[in-house]
Amino acid sequence: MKNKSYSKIVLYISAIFIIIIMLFPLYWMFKISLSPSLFGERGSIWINNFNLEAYKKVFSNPLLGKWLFNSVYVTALTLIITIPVSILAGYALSRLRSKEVTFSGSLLLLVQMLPITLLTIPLYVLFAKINLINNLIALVLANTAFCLPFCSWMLKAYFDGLPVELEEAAQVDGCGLWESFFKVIIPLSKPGIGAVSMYTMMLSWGEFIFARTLMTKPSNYTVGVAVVSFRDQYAIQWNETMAASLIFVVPLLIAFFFLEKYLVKGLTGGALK
Amino acid sequence: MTLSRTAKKRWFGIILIFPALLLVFAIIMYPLYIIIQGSFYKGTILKLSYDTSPTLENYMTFFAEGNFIRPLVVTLLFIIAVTSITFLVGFVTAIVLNQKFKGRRIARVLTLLPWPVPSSIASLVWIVMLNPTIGIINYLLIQIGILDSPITWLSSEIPAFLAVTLATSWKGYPFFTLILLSGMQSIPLQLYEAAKLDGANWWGRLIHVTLPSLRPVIAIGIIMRILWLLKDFSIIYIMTGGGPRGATETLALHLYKNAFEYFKMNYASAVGVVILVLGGIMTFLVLRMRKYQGDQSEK
Repeated sequence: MKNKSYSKIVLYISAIFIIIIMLFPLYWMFKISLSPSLFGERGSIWINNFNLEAYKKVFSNPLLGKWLFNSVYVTALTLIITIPVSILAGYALSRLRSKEVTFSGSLLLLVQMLPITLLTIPLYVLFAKINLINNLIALVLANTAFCLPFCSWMLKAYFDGLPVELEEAAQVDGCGLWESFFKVIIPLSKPGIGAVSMYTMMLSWGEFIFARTLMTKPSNYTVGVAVVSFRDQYAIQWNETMAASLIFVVPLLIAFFFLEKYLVKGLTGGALK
Repeated sequence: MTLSRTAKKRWFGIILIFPALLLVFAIIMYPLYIIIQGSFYKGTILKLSYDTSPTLENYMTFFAEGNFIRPLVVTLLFIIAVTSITFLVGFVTAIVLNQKFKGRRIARVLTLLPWPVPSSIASLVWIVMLNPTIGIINYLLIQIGILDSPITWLSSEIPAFLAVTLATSWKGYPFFTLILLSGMQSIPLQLYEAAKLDGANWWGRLIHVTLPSLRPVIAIGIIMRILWLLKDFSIIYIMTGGGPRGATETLALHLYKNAFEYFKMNYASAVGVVILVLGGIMTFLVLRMRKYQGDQSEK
């Protein structure tokens, strides 16, 4: 009994220790953003100031709203394309295996292994040809290339975990293939869909490399590139840069907070136990 | 004119997979063809057509002139360092989170929190913390007595490498926490009980039950991490730009700088093809290693 409570204490201490160390950078972002000087005062790890000057400056930036809007727009469109397409593909890979489907599946697995950022060069060339540089659609397509293969395979693993009898029963009751897919499978797939949605959001919201390459005008930046442009200004205002970082990261962290449980379930593949 | 059930199912499958296939060809396979084609020509990739004959010159520049040595070494060291650190931290955090305690769900969310932080934002906060004069890291290291004088982290070669390794690992470890945790949760409890009956203590159960059961998850995780690190240069690009003197310039960054700063896109395409091959080799090696270990433990 004594031994047990002793190990509980060790457990709590290690959990708290890990969390403090790992969240320190986020805390530091917050601390610096509240500092009146550019860097924060030297040699103190506590928050000594509660100065909102940096936030006022960031909010008065005329492009701030545009950047947030761009990120919302790109993330939303990437979700709208990636999620339905990967649900369909994942379902086919799980339940409708034919020669054609299996071949497409191997292709999806293969391209998932590709270092996608190599595609910066050809995508830049192609998008320049059809005048999509500085068009947010270009980013949506690039992000889709990034997310689609992984999401399809993740959903395939999820569907694999659902019992086949469910659809068979529905089909015996007279449901067609489409109907049994929409009425039986989709409603059961919330955790899987939640997981791939979170994954897609994480990759699209602050994506840096494609946004840096394909968007050259500041008004077309998404938050990942916009925040770096704060640093690249003539005089670096670190407190403003950190305030902007926090403003840009908080929406994603909130989404993560709610969808994280799906990520854990979705990755195990088949949560219907 | 009614189709048989199997034929119906076959067409249903083709219809469902078609949108994905179309997108893969349009935004991955066709671009891939362009980069491979471009790597074998001189001149400008922008026109997408070449009136000269194919050449190996881009590959010659990369290999024969020794351009590849530094980025290749940096890439391998970076991958080894980050993969080991993220795996170890991920493993320890997964073990802690796999125990039953009050507040476990919130502890899990908080431990995974660096994951969604975009890499540009993660890079900036590490730049601030590593600042030589006012950064907290130098301050703490001097207070503890590890350092005598401040280090200029991002402008000296080894410290800059350590700095980008640290920042990348911070953002990357939750991936391992997550997959190892879900792996641990699917290990049957009977295995642990049997080990307990055999007299295995906590450590023994970790080595003889947990680790072997996780082997497939670990292999997949390491492959995914390697492939990710092979391509993702955003943190390095923002923190050091590959400097000082190429100390943090990985192959992917070498590609990007040549393509978009020096506009040598055909040369950069050849670098891209090399990265592709390297990714294939590394995946193969990890899978082989796993197979070998599997054979060993069965004996």
